[in-house]
Amino acid sequence: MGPVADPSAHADAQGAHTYVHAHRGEELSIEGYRILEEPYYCATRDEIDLFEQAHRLKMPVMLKGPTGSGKTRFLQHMAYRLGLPLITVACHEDLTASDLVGRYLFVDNETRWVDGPLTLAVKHGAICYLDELVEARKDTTVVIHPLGDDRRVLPIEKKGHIVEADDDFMLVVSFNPGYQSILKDLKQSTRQRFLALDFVYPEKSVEAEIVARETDTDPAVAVRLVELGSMIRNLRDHGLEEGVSTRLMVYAARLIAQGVPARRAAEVSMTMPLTDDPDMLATLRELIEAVFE
Amino acid sequence: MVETPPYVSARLAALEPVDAALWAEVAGHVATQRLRDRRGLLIGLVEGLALLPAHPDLRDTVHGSLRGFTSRSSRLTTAYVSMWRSLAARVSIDEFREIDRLAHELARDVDLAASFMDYAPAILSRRDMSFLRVWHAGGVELAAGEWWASRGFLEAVGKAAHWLREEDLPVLVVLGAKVGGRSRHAVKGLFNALPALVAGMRVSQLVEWVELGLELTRREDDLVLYMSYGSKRSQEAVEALCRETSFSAFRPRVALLLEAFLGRAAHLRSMFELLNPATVPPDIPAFSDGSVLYVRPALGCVGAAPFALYKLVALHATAHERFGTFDDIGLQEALRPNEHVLGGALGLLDDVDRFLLGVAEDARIDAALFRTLPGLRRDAQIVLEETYGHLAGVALSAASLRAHLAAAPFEVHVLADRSLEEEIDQAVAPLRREGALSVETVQAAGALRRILDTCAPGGAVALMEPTVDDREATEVPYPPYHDHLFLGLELAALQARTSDGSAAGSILPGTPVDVPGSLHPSEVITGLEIAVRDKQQETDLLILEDEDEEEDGGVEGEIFTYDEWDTGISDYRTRWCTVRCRTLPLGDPDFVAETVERYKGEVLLIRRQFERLRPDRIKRFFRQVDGDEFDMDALTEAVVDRMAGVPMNDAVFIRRDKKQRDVACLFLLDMSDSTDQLVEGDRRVIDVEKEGLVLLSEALGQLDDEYAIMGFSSRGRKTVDLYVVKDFSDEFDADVAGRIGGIAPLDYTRLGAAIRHAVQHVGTQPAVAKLLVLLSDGRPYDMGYGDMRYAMEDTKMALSEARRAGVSPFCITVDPKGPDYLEDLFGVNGYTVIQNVGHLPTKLPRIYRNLTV
Repeated sequence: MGPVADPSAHADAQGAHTYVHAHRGEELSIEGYRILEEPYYCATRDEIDLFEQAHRLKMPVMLKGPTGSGKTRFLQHMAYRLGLPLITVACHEDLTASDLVGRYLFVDNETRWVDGPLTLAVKHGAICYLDELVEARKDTTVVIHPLGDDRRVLPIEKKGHIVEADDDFMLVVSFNPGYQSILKDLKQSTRQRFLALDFVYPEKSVEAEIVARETDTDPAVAVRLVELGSMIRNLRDHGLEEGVSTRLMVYAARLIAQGVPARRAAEVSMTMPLTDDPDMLATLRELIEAVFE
Repeated sequence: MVETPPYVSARLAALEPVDAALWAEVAGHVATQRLRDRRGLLIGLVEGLALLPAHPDLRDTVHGSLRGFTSRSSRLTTAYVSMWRSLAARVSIDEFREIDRLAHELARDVDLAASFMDYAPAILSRRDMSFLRVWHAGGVELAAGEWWASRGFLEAVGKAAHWLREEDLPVLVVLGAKVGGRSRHAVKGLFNALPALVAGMRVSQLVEWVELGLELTRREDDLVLYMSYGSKRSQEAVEALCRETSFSAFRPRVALLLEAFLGRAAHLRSMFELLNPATVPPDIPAFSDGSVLYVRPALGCVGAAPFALYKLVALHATAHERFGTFDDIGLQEALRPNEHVLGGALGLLDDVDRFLLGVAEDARIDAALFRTLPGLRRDAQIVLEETYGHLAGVALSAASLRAHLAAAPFEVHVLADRSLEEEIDQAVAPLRREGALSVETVQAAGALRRILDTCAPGGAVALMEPTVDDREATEVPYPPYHDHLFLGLELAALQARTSDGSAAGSILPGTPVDVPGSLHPSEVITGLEIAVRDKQQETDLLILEDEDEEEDGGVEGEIFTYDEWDTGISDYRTRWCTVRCRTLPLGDPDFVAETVERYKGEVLLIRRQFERLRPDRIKRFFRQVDGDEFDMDALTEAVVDRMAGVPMNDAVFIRRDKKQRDVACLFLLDMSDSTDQLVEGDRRVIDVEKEGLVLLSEALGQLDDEYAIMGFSSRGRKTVDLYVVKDFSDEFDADVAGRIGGIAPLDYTRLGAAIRHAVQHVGTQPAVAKLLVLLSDGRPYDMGYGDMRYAMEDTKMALSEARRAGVSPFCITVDPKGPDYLEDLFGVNGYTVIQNVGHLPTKLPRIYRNLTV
């Protein structure tokens, strides 16, 4: 069984669930996937409204945006808001259809069918979130096609039947368009089944608020980190296509709150991870030195 | 009868009788002469005499000198009065008497004495009496030989005292004598240019530069041009001598910083591309016309690291753009000299008002800049201490006000009268708050004007017409990182007028750029011919007429024809271009080997990195219907399925196979003559690109990716040459190496046709992923290839065709203006700019790796 959220796992302060391997053979109760505390999310545009509409109209949604731009947090927030359980699957190259749909297991001398995360969501009316869908092989991805059009059914071939999606079921995938790699892309037949919500890094004052709230740091520090982040993003054309994510700024802020000197915190969280190019690193160091004394 | 302006009469009445008598005497004497500014002289005289009661011991000296000088020339009178007014309160009695005596020593020559007196206050404010004595002695020594040398020396040192030490002066005297001995005009030019030169280099470097000039030039014309800092050679010599501190050394780094700060590509040029270096006041570090930032190519700052100063200069100048100076039309109109009265509220602005507007706006910008980038404060502190630290404390004037506003936030105090500081700070307090707008600048400027009027010596209350002494500006240095806003605005306006066709005010060769409101000693800055020619050249180049040559039949190789997209008619011109594709002849056989040797370290690194990327030759494919071993996960699942009654899946094997990467890439190299430009030392763009190809080949050799290398160059639509350096099926052998060595700059860049042919070629490859990587150094451009837009649209169309054919295009460019047009052509993720061209070879493999991972 692929990695699935374990209800008994510890939920950290922001209400996110950690990923843990499921216990052998046990079907996890859907209740374990409910989000109990409201995750903090600051809207940048009309994404909340649009998502609610999409859910009402039973349309699947693609969250497009660079890494660390709030896609997952947004979804957690919406799941909480709509009162739905959220089942997340991290997609990778070896993900198979069975991982999504389910498989027979041999337990206690008999075969037992165990639903996969997708089936679980379809049956019980939860949100199924396929994170980084493009990483999965194309022959796995096609499994979601029947769910992504008006049929809203999931064929389970091995059991020989078709599951109709509960009214509340929603399919959500994430996609990062920033990769320049030509070897990985989504087929049009997949793409064209989704509404796409665009996630961009928020406007500076909003982002500063997010950073401050996530980490409980001095707002002035948050403002500086956001200024640094925005300057780094302006260097898109020079090899830093993704810029720096809000997530990394949060890391930096957390380090600073713990007493790490600001320049060093910014260096290890916001620049060293981004690039190995010595020229660019030198420039990024200049930027840090300009922003932090 | 002597005309006595009413406001002067009031002051006269307040003078001591003996002083008033002297005034009348002088006034009577000058009444009969032709004078440029009689009124100014008389006003200055009355003000100067008004100071005497405070310094009674000097009355005799002053009276004597005034009489003596006036009988010789009113020029001397003016100079003496001005000097007296500046120095009266600042020097001791003995010192003044000494200076007076020194002036008389030179008085045999009116101009020399006048120059001495003009600049003595500046010398004293930036240096000391000892410096002044050595300066004077230098002038005397040179006067014995070449008069021009002496005059030039006195004035140049007067303007550039800030950058010189006492021990430098004798060296300059020797230089002056030497050059003066060769040519009078040359030494005149040299000292004219001296402030600009020493602002950016040490005197020892200056000596080298002069020696070089004397050696290189034979004819006097050339020597004069060189010494005036006007010839390209002389400017290049400066750059070469000051390599570590010169602009070109820092430009890539500064450009990146600006791009990060501003959010758009930064255009950074040397100001001497636009203006005659000898005429730009040395205090001006930079100016921006709103899109291009012109920087002095050699900034001198003895204490701080040069890069720190460049950073400050560049960021301050662009801060104007970021924080809205150019958004407020009202402010801009007020800053520029024009005939319109600004909306009643400000009334008629004079030069002082304009100056103060600039001062206030700079204060607002400074506050915003250091608030946003507090890390710069340390650098600013060092620079300001270096500049103002030695000033004993000066009287309030327009120039010292500017200096105070810049320096006070860093605890560097410029003004003698500390009590004024609070008042001044209150006036600008609204500007220093976050979110202050340029509207508040206008109000603050008004408040500053009131302070200046009431507190400055000889305040406007006494005189109906404010006069500002140019000398003041030389005494208190301009803040080293404040750009010259007026100059930039003026140039922007001039250029705007030129481009929309109105001939009046176009920048003709030698056009003086008049910047009132700057209160700088040399308010008129002479423009260079280049300013006009640049634009002209660009427009000329853009439309090269097709020479309509017949195809050159004698060339071997295959011939292809391609359509070309004409955006004007929104259609293709069918079979418009003739592409000739042939193998590149062999060139330097050792080039590849030498490059590998030179980049030994890099090559090792590349081999290691790309080896890791190499599919392990053998890749295991899971859940296969056929294979060498069982896939246990799949098998388990299948067995359980069967036990559950589900038909058993037969895909339970693991197969080993090669080919995981299925990439074919064609590298298309622009071989136009623009790649002939020198980039680093003696390497040209093309050399750097060739090295890049060598390293790339090393990388690709590890991977098993199919790749080809082709170069292209065109001369009109019938002559588009594609050269095969390495084809997909070729091994990287001695022939390929020889061909790489043979790559050389040729003609032009008809990109559309080249792309279409390249796409056709890579389209024949079976690989799933097909890449076309263009190595470029600039825009598409060819004979008969229309204007810029035509060429762009055709290229854009060719790239669309490529994508439709399943080929993904990507562009790697060394053109810093790349982002302006590449985003449109290749998409936001479809190109990359290499800022430091010299690093291209090492970056190419990395870029390729990221592209195909």
